[in-house]
This record gives sequence, structure tokens and C-alpha cells, in this order.
Amino acid sequence: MRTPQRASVRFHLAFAVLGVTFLAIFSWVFLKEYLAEWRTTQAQFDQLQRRVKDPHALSLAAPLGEIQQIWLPDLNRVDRCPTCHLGIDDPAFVSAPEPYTTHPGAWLRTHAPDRFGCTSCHGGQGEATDFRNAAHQPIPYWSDPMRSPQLIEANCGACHRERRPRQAVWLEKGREVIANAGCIACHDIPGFSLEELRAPRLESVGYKVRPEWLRTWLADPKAYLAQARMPNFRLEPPEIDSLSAFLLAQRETAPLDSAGIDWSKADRDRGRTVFGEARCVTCHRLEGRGGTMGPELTTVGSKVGRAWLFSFIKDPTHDQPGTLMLRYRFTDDQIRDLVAYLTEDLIDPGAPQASSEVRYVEPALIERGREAFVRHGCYGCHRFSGMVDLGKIGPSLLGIGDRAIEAADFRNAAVVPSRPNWLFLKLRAPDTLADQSRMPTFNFSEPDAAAAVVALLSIRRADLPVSRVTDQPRPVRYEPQGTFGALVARYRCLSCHQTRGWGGELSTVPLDRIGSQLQHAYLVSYLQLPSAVRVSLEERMPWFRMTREEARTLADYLAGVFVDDSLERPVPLDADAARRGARLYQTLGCRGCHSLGGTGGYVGPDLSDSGRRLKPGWIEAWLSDPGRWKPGTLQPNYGLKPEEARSLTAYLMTLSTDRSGSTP
Amino acid sequence: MNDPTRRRFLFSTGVTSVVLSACGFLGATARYLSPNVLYEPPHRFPIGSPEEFPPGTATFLPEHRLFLFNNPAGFYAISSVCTHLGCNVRHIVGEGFACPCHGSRFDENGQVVHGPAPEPLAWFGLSLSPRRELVVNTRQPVQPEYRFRV
Repeated sequence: MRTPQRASVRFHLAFAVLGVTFLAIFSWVFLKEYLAEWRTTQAQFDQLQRRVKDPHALSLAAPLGEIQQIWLPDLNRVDRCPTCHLGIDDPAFVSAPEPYTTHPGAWLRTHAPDRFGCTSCHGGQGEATDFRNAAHQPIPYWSDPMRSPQLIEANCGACHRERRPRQAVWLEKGREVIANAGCIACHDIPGFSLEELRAPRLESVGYKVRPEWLRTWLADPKAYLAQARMPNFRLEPPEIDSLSAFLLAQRETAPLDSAGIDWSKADRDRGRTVFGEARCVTCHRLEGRGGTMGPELTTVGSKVGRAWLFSFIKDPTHDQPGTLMLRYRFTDDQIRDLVAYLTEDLIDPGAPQASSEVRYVEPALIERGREAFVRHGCYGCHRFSGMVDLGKIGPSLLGIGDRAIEAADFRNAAVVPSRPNWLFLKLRAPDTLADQSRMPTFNFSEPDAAAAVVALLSIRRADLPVSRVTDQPRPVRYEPQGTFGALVARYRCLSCHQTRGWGGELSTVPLDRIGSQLQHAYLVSYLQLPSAVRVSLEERMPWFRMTREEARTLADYLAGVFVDDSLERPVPLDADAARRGARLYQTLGCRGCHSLGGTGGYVGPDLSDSGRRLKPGWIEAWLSDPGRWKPGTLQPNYGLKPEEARSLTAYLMTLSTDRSGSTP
Repeated sequence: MNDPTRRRFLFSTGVTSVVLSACGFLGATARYLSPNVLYEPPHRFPIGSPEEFPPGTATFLPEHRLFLFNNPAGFYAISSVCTHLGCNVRHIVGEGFACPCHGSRFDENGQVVHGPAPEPLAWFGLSLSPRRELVVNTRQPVQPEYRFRV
């Protein structure tokens, strides 16, 4: 009798245990749902908003107790962040603690949360409703955690594809780094084009460089020139041998003939004067001073040969058709002196000496050099006839901002395996990463590399709808034709000046309306002999030594075509107005920045000759609203009344350095 | 000796737990049918600041399928979705609304003038967001005398 009884107890026990287990499991489900993190967070917010807001405003507020989400099908995003970030769009919560505080700045006014969501800008896992899974901090299995402040501009760049996005300094800097470093030579990068590459052509480099210089350059370009744009390819000595043999054998176009030049008559001092007068330092650095558009010349004598340099200065386009360098109207004697100065005074005493022995170069060595040239993708930057269809050597960077990163990608286990870290190392020290890439070492500074990481992270794979993307139209190449075009090409005006958005950036004033700004006679004389209008600037227009006819042709065209009709209006200039203008000039403190007859400030242009230099319609328009003509100018907008602007114009038009008394 | 008591206790514990969990699971399953959120447009959305809708105008907001009116008594929002087959109705000043698909007509308050539409156009409640934007709530039906004053 006892056995069935015992069995019955056991059965009842099992039944009870099972039932309690079920209940426990159910309770767990129940608690998980009703004690969810976001419910507690919302409950706390409710207490907070009762303190912060008045009852009427409270009745209009969004109801609590449900998940708030922003659904953006075109961005493929569901952001539930507002479930907890409840005060994000309400100025009343400025001083509330996280997560209830108001979004800082005016960002939500331009990027309304219901249109842009949260993760578009911040990253993170939008669908999550608890702190950890929302990836506020990096978590496993979610490759897109919230961006730190250092990297957040990468998300701006996903939509804002302008080269210079406003208010995103790191992104802008990063894109500049990428453009300047010439990454586009080896990688297809959305938003960047090959036009920006300006490496010399090498088909005739055998005539150009000294063999001993070439070897040190190939070994480490930065050893010769700190600002060298060419990266270090970490070449082994045998590769340097073969590459230099290959390059020195390139002799397609012989330099212009300099056989008739008597080098014994060369005068280095006169050459130095020519160098100074021509304002070469506007583009070329010399002992730490000068521009950076052209290569530094401090030790150019150890780099190039005399005959080639003579030919290059005489006609830079002879073997470098796309060069930024202009063609001065020098005499052969002036070039001779200049070349003597450059090749004899500007040398590096520590450079290896030329060996006089003539060595036989094996054709096989040259062939190996050609192979190395192709293997390292040199043709990407240095366009080389016969090597046009080889394609880019590196992978496309489309979607680099989504690249999956694993710990195995790093050789150093101490580095946190994240996408930004991988990109940073790839840029700074590609040889420390696990893949044996051919990527050269650029020696980016840390800030430059960090900025470039931001710019690279902004290149995502996802194709955004066109309506979400902002970009600026790429400038259309401006190539004037005819006599004017030939002069613009010869003097390379567009290396420094811009018109219609096309051209260089050395001059900050676009030429688009220059004919309405400057008087014709002044243009003619300035083009022939440029005088400094802003004496504080190192960059000045070079002295081209152009002829009067050439200057006239340029000035005629500028005055006829590069005009703004709204500026071509008569301004009444009478003596009374000029006197009032003179008083205004004093009271406004113009002299703080502008100098007159040698006294005054140096921030703005010298105004001593403005009566012969500027057109009155332009002065008046400029004074009335400087920012309209040049956004970001230092010239203050004084809010002048129309008659005040006219009086100042009348006064400025009386100023002239011409003492012969002929006022315009 | 105590076996019957123990058995009864175990049995009742088991039954209570099972019944409770079964009810709970049934409840949870029922709850599961109405999810917390859906992948759908929100029912509360801002449509812009009140100043964007000048007095005396009716503005059609195609992306939200509604008309926003601003008349001297205040703002009100009427759905543009015809209650017949869901076409966008057209607003005719002084007359009301007309559906281009099957000719339903509604008066200025969205009441059916003649069919085939079976019901009047929906009216939505309005509120003001903390940033002073008008917010429409499509889950808050209101009567035709509703006016929202800023």
C-alpha cells in the first residue's frame, strides 16, 4: 500500500515544482516587460517634468508609457532614442541631467529630429531601448557605435559632400588632407577627382635630375624636402637601383638648346636679383619662407641639372605641359644668371657628390625598374605615356566607412580593434597592420591623420536618396581661347586666381568682376609692373615682364568681360562730399587697418592711390556691404547710409600718389 | 500520516501555479498582438510653426494627407483622405471638399453632402510642441467645432 502512496506524493511534488517553475518563468517575462529600463527612465522624467513645466504645458506634452520612435524608411533607420531622451527638443530641460537634457546648440533647428532621426548624426543602435544595447559605448556585434565628439563629423559628411562643409572643421581638414596627399592616384574615392593631381611628368626625367639626388629621393622624399608630397615607398636598395636606372633612361624630350650660352659670364648676384624681382618666393619656399605651390628651392642646385633648368625657366611647358609655373619674359642672359644662382648658391653641402665614372647600365636592370614603377603604382601620380590604362593600384574607398574590422587586422594586440583605429594606423604606419599592403608611408601628422580618418569614415556604402545629399557643383574647367587665352596660359593666371569657381586659391579675390573694380589704366600699369597693394603679404603677383601690348590685351578683356553691370554706375563726386568723406575716414577709424602715404595699418590694402586704382561704383558698393562681395572679409560693415558711402567714395577717389596734379 | 495534507498542499500549489501561468501566458499572448511600436509613420508629427500658415488660409500637406486651416477662431486640421476609397479630396473655397475619384462631396466641415463616401472626413487634434511647432495627432479624433488657439 505504501508504494502507490509514495508514488502519488512524488507525482504531486513534481506537479507542484513544475507549476512553480512555470510561474517563475512567466513572472520573469512579466517583470522584463514592465520593469524595462525605458519605463523607469520615463517615470523619472515624469517626476522631473512636473517640477519643470506648468500643468497646461504638461497636458500638451507627448504621452508617456509608450516607446517613442522616429521612422525614416528612406534612410533605413528606426530611432527609438526619444523614448528616453524625452526633453531633447524642449528648451525647458536645458539644465536637466542626461538623458533628459535639451540638445545643445541650434542643431535641431536645422536637423529636425522627425526628419533626420538621431543615429544619422550620432551613430548607435537606434532600435534598442536600453542604454547598453543602444551602443552608447562600443559593444560587440554592433559595428556602428555612437560617435565620439572627435569623430562625429564623419556622420555630417555622409550627407554633406561638399569639399568644404560649413561648421565641420575636422571633416573639412580631412578632405583637404586626402586631396593634397593624392590618395586619388591609387584609390577611387567618391567626391574626389584626378584633376587635383599635380605630380611632374617623368618621360624626360633623365635630363632633369642628378642621379645621386634621385637615389636619396627614392629612399625617402622627406629627407630632401620636409613638405614633399611624395610618400615613402619603403623601397629596398635593389629596387632603388633599378628604379633610378629606369628613370634616368627616360629621355623623351630633350631640353631647349642652351649650347650657345656662355656660362662663364653668368653672374649669380644678378641672378639673385632676378629671383627677388620676379617674386619667385610667392610660390617657392626658400630657407623656410615663401609659398608652397611650387617645390621648395633651398637646395634645388643639388637636385636638377643646369641645362634642364635653363630650358624649364625658358618654357616650363616644354616637358611639363600641365605645370602651374608661368613663362616669364626673361632674356637668355637673365635666365643664365638665374640658373647660375639656383644651381650654384642653392645647394646642399651634405648631398652625395656626383661620381664621375661612367657605368654601363644593363637593359635588364631598366626593365626591372619599369616593373617596380608599375608595381608601386608610380604611374598613378606621375602620368606616363604608355601607362594610361593600367587602372588604379589600390582598392576603391567606396564604403570604407563601413569596413568590417577584426582583431586579426592588427598586429599589435594592445590596439582596440575599431574602425577608426584601423584607419588611423593605416594612414600613419601602414606597415604595422596585418595585411602586407603596398600602401606607402605618408608621415601624416597626428592631427592630419585624425582628420583624414573623419573624412574617410564619412564615405559610406549606403546609397542615400538624392534629396538627403548636399553637394556643390564641381567647377567647370575655364579655358579662355584666342589672344587672351594664350596670355592666360602663358602667365598661368589661373594657377593663383579664380574665376567662375575655377582656378587656384592663392589670390583671395576672384577675377569675376575685376574689370568693374579696377581702372583700366591702372590694370595696364599693374600687369606690367605689379606693385604691392597689401604690403604685409608674402605672396605677391610676380613681375612677368610682360609687354605693354600684352598688358593692354589682358586689361581690355578684363574691362570688357570680367564686369558686373550693377557696379558700373556713376557716383557723383564733388568736393563737398569728399570733405565729408575725409572726416568720416577719421571718425570710422579706417586708418587702423589701411595706410595712407605710409602711415596707418597694414591689415587692409594701402589706399594711397585708390583714386587712380579703384572704380567709384565698386568702392560705394563695397563700403555699403562688404560681406556681400566677400563673405568673411575683415572689412567691417559700418551700416553706412547711402550718402555716407558716397562721401567716402568721393574722398577715396581724390587720393592719388601721382604728384603731377592730374586728378581723375 | 501527513501524506494527505502534504499531497493536498502540493496539488493546490501546482494547480494555482499552472492556472496563474496559463492565464499569464494567455495574457502575454494577447498583449503580443498589440506591439509597442510598428514600422509606420508616427501618429503625432510636427507640421511647422503657426506663422507658416497665415490667417484665412487652407494649406494642403500632401506628405501627411491633411488640410490645415487657420481661421479667426483658430487652427484645425481635416484629413484629405476620402472615406470611400481613400483618394485625396480637393478643397474648393466656399463649397467644401470634392473627391476626384467617385464624386463624393463634403461641406466645409467635412460632412458628407452626397455619396458614395459613407462617413465625414476625419478631424485631427492639434497641440503645440515646446519649440512652438504645430503638432497633429491622428489618433485624437475631434469634433467639427474644434479650434486650436496658439
